[in-house]
Amino acid sequence: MDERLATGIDGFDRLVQGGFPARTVNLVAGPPGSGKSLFGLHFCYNGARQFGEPAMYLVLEETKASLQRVMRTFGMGYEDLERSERYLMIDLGELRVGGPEGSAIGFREIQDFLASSLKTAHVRRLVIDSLSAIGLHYASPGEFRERLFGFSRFLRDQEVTTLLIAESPDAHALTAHGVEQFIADSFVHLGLEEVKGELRRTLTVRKMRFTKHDTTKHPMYITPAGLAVAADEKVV
Amino acid sequence: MDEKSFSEAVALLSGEHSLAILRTLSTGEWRIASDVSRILHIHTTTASKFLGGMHALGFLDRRLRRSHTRSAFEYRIAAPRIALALDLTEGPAPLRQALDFYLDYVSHVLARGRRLGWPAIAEKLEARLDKDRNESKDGIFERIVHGGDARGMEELRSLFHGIHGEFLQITSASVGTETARRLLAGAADEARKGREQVVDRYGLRKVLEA
Repeated sequence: MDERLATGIDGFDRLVQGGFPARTVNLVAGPPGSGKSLFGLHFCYNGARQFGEPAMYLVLEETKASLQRVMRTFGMGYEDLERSERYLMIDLGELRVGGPEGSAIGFREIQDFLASSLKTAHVRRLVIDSLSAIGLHYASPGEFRERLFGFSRFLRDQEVTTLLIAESPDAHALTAHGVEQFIADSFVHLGLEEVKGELRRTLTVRKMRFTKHDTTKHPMYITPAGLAVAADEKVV
Repeated sequence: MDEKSFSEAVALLSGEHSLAILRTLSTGEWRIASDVSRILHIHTTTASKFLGGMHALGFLDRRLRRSHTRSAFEYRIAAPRIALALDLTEGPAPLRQALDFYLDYVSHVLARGRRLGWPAIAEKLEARLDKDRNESKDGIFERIVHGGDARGMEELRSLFHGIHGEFLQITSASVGTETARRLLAGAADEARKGREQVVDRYGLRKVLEA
């Protein structure tokens, strides 16, 4: 379990002994606008570009065009990586039956897809954006929890390190179903707080198995190069 | 039988002396129009028109009887049982709609393949169509030209069943069979929109489910 996958996000990796433990399932949650998708994009893009680890980003909630625009904004051109299948951004919305407004995609459909595609593309890093979109597929929170549990077991059996992106519904609830953080091996919470009339982004590593990690709430910034965590500062 | 022949046959058989004329031929003997005219006490022209019409529709055999003074056609019944069967799948309109559906399906598959975000899949799907584009195109046009033939629809279904099978194979190789089926089913659903009636009536989508 010594192998770690660095995110390449400025300031983050040193909070967690160099990165996420390999072959684990990790949760990144936060409210809208807190930088969750950008965190996932860094993990995939830097993995493929800097560390030579094939990555796959599954789009379920936002449009793919919107995420591609984000990547261009922060200088993450990936056409060459895509052509060589080292970085694939897959729009799972295309698997909906009955048109764009058709049935939502659930864990079973994603698992069917990953069972083949992870091996075909030799994927080492996987981001699923987002759990909240998958939750729409299930009639009850109980069913969602049960399926998520089975899905996380499937992911751990793969040669892949996964980031699950999830929405925090409000300041009091960290995750929508209240169970995601218990199933995951790590939980990185991104915050968006109003301080004296200004919004301030924060990052807290609330949990990371197999890791002596920092537990401080740190300021996080969005710079022209993307996310940057102020590892030496703390939010008070 | 196409709609035109069916209408002609119905009109002819509903004539005043039609069944009586057919009964005179029921023994299977060759008869000329004047024979029929004499037996039934009807005008020769009436008998001649009916016999010629029934021959044109394929219900009567015909041959030329020559004599020293003149020649005349003689007729006999081709089969002792006359049946009219109207095949509603015939005719160019359903075939054209079927072709539109299948071409839309292919177009949606390619579009979904591109939007999915796996360039190799999109490239292989396009390469499949490029491979024998001329052969497929010729085949399609031939089927349109012979749209009156009931086999036209079946051949069209068969052609796209084959193309669908190759699409499924290409996509499955990267993303697995279940995902490939979903991707292609989504494209078929999109192509079906607005022409549900013809797609369901002629079973066009079924060949895209195998």
